[in-house]
Amino acid sequence: MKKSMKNTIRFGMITTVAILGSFVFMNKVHATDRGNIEQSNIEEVLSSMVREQQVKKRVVLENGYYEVQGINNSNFNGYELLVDNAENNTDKILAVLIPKRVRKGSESGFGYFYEGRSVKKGSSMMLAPINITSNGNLNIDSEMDTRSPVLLVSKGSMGKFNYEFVIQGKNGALDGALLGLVRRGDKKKHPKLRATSKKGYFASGSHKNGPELVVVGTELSIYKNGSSEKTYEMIQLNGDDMFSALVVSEFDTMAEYDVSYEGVNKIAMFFDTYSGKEESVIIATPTHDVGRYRMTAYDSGTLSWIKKLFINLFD
Amino acid sequence: MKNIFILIVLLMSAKTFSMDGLSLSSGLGEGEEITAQQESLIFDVKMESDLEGVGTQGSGLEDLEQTILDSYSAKDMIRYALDNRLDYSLGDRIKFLDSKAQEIVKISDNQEDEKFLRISLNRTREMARLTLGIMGKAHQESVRFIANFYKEGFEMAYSVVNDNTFLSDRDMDLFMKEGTNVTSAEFGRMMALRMWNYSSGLQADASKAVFLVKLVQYLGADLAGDLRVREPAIAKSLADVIAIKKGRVYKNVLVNLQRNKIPSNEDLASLRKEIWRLIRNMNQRF
Repeated sequence: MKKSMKNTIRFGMITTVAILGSFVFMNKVHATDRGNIEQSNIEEVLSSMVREQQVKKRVVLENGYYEVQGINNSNFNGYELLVDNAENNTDKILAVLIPKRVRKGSESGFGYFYEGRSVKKGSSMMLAPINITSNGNLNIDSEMDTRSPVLLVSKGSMGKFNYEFVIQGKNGALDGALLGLVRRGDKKKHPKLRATSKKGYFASGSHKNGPELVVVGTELSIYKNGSSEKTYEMIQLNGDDMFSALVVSEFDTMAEYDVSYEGVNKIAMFFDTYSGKEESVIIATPTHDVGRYRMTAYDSGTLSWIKKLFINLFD
Repeated sequence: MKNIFILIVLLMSAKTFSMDGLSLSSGLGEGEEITAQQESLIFDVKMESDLEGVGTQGSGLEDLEQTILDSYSAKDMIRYALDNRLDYSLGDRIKFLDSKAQEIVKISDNQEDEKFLRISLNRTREMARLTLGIMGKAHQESVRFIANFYKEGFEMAYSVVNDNTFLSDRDMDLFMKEGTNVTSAEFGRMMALRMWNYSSGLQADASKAVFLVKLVQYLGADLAGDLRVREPAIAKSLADVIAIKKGRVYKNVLVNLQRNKIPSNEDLASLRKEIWRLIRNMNQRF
């Protein structure tokens, strides 16, 4: 009896040791299967988020005209984006988002002025609204507000939306529109933007209704109902001669010279129409919305309607 | 013969009178032609003799020289400069306002109640000198921008003249109600907001960086110079300024500017964000 008890206890002990041993063995095999812990450089880990943003395609918006096509918002169909260099910094651009009908002088409408700069290590370009402040200076809204309504431009080919560039409205810009950009091919049709009239003299209006806008040198006068409403001095805003600021100017009759004030009131932008045969100017008046301007185009109107018809047919 | 002699004497005396400038019209009325050179000479002689009398009289203006110099206060001179600035084109306006700023600071001398007036004008001049040459190729816009900066600098200088020199003569309650009493910290906040507004625009990044760096430096000096610097609102803001100045971003921007280099976009954006937070917090505390 005692012997059988001893055998039973011995068997139990052997079994327990075997089971425990198998556990140890199993654990050991399991650990070996998973491999050694990999050590990463902490700096590399921390900078990985930055590296992920580095995209091979660097966004470069070349100077010229781009047609805007709405992807999720058809309100911006028929808009154009006019792009030019900012001379002060090579990595910056100036851009104007304007309805095509306004640029052609068919009607007044609302458009936007932007300064563009590379962000996200060059994978995107941020178009930040240009404002006219209450003290008469221009400022870049993204530099004053952390939630500025900006546009982000990135390379196209976003799945089904195959455009050269795609614009995303951020922080409520353009009601969050997603827009495609298509560069217009024929450069001859792209009017070159200018800060002042190329001839130094410009007049718009009609014999019937009187003058609407007259430019002599750097002085610009806007007429209402045929009589002079206000005169401005044009000040070039960028070295590349793209558009100018209008500051109020008054003629001091006693001193016999013009007096200009320091604050900016409006923006003016000259360009050729009808393949360089005519000249137009857009006068942009700021609104209460950030970067949004009421734009009116004035043309010199020297072409006959037959010539315009022909040019329009082939435009 | 006698008649001829009398006639010659009369003619000579008539010419002498006309050359003296006493009767220009009578000289010309006799049909004599006068050259432009003679006319100029006569005019100069006449003006010189007229002006001589002013300065040489016994009770002349030299006795009143100091009275005349003291007749205009610094605030009067600011008003005068702002009014007369429109006689100049934007470029010449900067030179005019700059020279007036020097004169006004000199007139203000060491008057305690005009301390912030002098600081405003001196800082305006300093910022114009530091940035005008590095604002980029849009020179017309740079000139307009700085002309506007000068104009607002003068307006600010005018508004920060304190009334505390009259404290002893005035009812304290009335003074607190009507008098101007800008403290160093409050002036620093006003200056920081002004610099902040001018740190954005179409000008080059280098000049924007100068505005941001100087904003921090000026604000630090103004907060530290306030008698109530140990009060929590001012002390915390001063601590924020010191933290920015000790930070990597500020040092990077400053070193680049000192080496005549354009600071990186990232550093400039980060510094702007730090200053934006500083101003936001300061506005909440004050």
